[in-house]
Amino acid sequence: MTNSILIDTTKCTGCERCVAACIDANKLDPHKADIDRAQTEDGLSSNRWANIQKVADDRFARKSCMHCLEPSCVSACLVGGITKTPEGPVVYDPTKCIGCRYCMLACPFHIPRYEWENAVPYMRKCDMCFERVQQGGKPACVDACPNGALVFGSRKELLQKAQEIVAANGSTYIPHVWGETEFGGTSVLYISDEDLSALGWPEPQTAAIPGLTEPLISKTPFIGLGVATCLLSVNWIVRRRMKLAGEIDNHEVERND
Amino acid sequence: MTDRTRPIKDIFWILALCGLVAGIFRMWFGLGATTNLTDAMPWGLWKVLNMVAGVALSTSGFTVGFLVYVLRLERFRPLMKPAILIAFLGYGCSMTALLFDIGLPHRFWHPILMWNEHSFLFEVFWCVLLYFTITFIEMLPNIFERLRAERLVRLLHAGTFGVVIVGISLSSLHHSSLGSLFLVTPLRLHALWYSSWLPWFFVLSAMGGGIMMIVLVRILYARWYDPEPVFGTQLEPGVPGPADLLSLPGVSRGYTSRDMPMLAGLASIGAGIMSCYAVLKVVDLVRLGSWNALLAGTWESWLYSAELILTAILPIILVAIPRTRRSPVGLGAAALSGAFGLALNRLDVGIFGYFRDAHTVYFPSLAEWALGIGVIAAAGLVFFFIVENTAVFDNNWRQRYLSRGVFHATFDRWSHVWFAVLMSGVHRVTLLAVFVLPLAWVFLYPAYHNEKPITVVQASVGMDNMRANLRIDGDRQGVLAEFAHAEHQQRLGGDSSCAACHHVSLPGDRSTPCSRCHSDMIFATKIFDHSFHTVAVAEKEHLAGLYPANHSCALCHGDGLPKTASTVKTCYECHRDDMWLVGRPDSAVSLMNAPSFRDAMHGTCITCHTREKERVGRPQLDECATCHRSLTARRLATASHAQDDNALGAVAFGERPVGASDSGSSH
Amino acid sequence: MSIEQWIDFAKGPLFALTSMIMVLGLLRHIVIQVYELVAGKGRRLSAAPWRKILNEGLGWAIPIKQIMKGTPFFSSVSYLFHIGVIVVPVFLADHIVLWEKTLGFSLPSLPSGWADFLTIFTVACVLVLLGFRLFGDRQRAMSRLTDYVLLLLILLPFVTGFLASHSGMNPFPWETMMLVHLLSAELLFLVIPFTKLAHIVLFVFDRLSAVHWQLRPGAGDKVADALFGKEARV
Repeated sequence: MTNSILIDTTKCTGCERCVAACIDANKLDPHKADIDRAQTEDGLSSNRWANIQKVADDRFARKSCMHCLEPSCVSACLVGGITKTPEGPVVYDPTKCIGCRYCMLACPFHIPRYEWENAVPYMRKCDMCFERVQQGGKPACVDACPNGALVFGSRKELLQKAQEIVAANGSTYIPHVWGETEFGGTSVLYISDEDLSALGWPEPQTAAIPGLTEPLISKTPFIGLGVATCLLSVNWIVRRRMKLAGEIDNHEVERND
Repeated sequence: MTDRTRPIKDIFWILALCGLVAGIFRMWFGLGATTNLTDAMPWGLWKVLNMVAGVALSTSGFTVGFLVYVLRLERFRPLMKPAILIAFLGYGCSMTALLFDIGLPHRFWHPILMWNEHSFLFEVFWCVLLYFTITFIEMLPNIFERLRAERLVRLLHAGTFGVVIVGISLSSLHHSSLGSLFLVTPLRLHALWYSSWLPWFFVLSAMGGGIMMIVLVRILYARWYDPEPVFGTQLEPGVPGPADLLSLPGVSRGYTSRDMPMLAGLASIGAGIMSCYAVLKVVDLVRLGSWNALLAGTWESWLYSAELILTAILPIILVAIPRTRRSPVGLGAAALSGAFGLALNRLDVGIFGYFRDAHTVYFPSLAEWALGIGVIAAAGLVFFFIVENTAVFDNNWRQRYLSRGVFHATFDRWSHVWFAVLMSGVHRVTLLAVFVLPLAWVFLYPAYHNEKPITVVQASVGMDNMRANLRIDGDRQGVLAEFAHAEHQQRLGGDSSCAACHHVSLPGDRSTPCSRCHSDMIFATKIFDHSFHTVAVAEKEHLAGLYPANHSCALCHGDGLPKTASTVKTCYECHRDDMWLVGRPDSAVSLMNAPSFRDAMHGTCITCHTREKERVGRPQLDECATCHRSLTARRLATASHAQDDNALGAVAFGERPVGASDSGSSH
Repeated sequence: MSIEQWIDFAKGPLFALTSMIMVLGLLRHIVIQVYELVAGKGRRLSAAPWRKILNEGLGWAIPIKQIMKGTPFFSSVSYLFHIGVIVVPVFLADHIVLWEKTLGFSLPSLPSGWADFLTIFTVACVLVLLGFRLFGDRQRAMSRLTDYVLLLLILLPFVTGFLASHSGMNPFPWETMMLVHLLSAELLFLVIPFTKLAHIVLFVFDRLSAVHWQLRPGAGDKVADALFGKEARV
């Protein structure tokens, strides 16, 4: 069952208790997290996996990993260190990582962050509190929200619920559930009365990024074999033509080979 | 004859030593301290210049191998060994740089065991690793020849054709994969460069670039070691030589040296490939409809045009004109332009194309330049070593080796030292190292460069005439604190209450702003002015006739103790009377560091609010939203919270209704 | 830049630069000396005359022969001067704080009274040696401009350091003295590997290798000329 978080920005007051809970639950350094909030563009860093962002005047939204259904980072990681779990979270295995930072380049939401200040650095990002979810709990941020702006549950139900809310309050909400189709769908869904492109949302119909590379890479062995076959046949033709033209005598063949 | 390579080798040694120091610092202090990479620009110079561009420029083994072994164009055979040497060094170079670039270098072997066959980086890793092994195998005959192991040489020669075929297939695969690496960034990479044709562009341009590179290296080799076959003028003009692709039959070819017709032919092929590449790129722009980005006049469009001119237009012009085609310098310029344009293209796709999306500009740090260029310089030194000691270009190495000039000892009149130490290369290089290593150390040492980024504190963004209400947003991050100054003053006891919040002012100054000392938003800042104290204390003591002048150090540091911050006595011991401190800074040493603006403000307000909330019976008094009105705005709109909010408002603004506040952001 | 920033600069990057040049330059001398000694002998390290090197080093460390037989006064002054010149800079309490901060190791420090005494004593020794060079016939004949300059250069950090640490007798501002002290010491670091001061490490190799700093060509003839008024008889 794929789990999901539904975020209703109209209920978010920007109190950042979810961020504090995240820092607490993941044992991050709150002081460093504070510094990074002021010094990075979207407030996310290796010390701060979630952040409240201002999306419009007096309108806030939590930003962190979207846990895509077809994650670009998972397909990009060359050692298979990032996986999409059946429970929903996209989790990172620090024991495999070699630090190539391709996941950071590949993520369309700019989510993976690097521990630049460490001599032995790892990638850090929200893992939807995978251990808590596995034990049947909720992510720390959902637990911490005092206003019910974050709801945790199965993606299917939440999507239905979100569509109902949007349909019922047509005058307030923009009739769209962010995360339903973008990049092939995400496990973090947003409903809002303001445009959320500040969070990095693209056009609703944008396709999943692995779809751009995986069809190509699955053909790799055939391309390689094809090139080799072409080379051999071209070489065969050339040799035959040379033989026919009598351009190479035995002496030369011996010398050159 | 003077040795033309000596100054170049010296420069390469200097660069390589700088790279060594940078490499040590990178391993010791980590990526963040030594590079300018950020979360917004995670890939930088080492990956893009050394890996993506470096591999692209080492395609010569692939292209020349194709010409010689597959198409059996025997006239290019003399370039086969140099081409493999270039490929070997180029791949070695990029793998070395990658070892420093990846965050956990001790795990470089992970992709061998841990597979993700969906990742193009995985494919690049394997192909590069295998191809490097293949170039190494192809290099072996040279080494065995030097060691006179004829049987092994023959054995290796027997397998050459197969190895070359495998090498070419691998090569074409990973060159396209290098392009495919950037397919995952459709929304990030600038429209001029992002295209689904990237893999084909990368293969095609790498083939042209590899040819340009081998032409360039062959001409440079002639310039350094053996000018006759390239720069010579002995042959009669129009000597029948190997066909020159651009010359019409029957036209006098006009070459005067042995190898120039071959090089001109090769450069023509390279320029031809590059032109096909350029045409395809333009076609692609039209296909994707992003050609208007080329005419937009942005700096990206200028880069793109420069790239096209350097890779294709300039080389094709230089090769098409007979005069420049027949001159080694002209041909060298064409090759250099092609190679440079190719490198520029890779930098565009890997770095420059991301600036607009990342909202930031990445410029590599000194250490990145030092290591990136140092690795290339080290490869250059290996090139010189191999060329001088094995028969890569020709069989003259033994004579060259024997006739190498020996430096003679000289007496330096100034220092009265015999510079006999300059007798051999070892002495020369160690002397370079003595100067270069410390200089590189000082210039690259991260601790001398990492200045703390300071968030500038600014005064309150707004206040009414009587300073009754202040709106404080010290770091301009948009989170305002509304502070009812007059109301607090009145409640805390009128004019005598200033001391409850405001503490020390500078001497003779009644209106020092808080940000004068609490000048950083996040970090504590050093505020103790040592030179001011030395002068002031000395003058005071002198006036009092207590000490001879300049004996003031001992007043604070204690006589006979080392004069450091750890042995100094506390500020409070002298400033007991004139330091009018309220509440907190009880340890006077902490006065050397003022807390950050945010900590100071929060500390002053929150301590008091926490203390008072029980007394006045308002449990929300110490919450963020009490002062940061912008955070409560949503609750105002929600009917269910209206009650709550009026209560909070009453605390912050006395009995005034919230709607009457002058804050524009509350609605 | 204010004078304090100059002092910080001289303590930080400049100190690192010059001391590294000195250490690497001296290391290079050792490497090249050993390399030259073993070059003709199959390049094995064991081929170097280690016993002779040890003898040479010990001979200089305990110069009984020179003091007993040769020039007792000159040799003793020179010996004591060398002790002062090594002990004071390394074991001074203020310097040990610097070692701790930059290099991370600590040493027992010299009592400040002893430090003062040794400093004055070393300065006195330098003056005596300078006197020898100026007024002794043989020494003057062998001396060159650099010999005098180097002696004075050694004197400078000692004098400025002493004045900087005794503000009562210092007629100049402390900052200026400190800056001159740092800069002169760093200049000394810089010239050590490239002048005759390289005998810090080369002294053990002096008699063994052909490659080291040497006298000017024909210097021996000049000495003989000064002594006997005619060509040297070797």
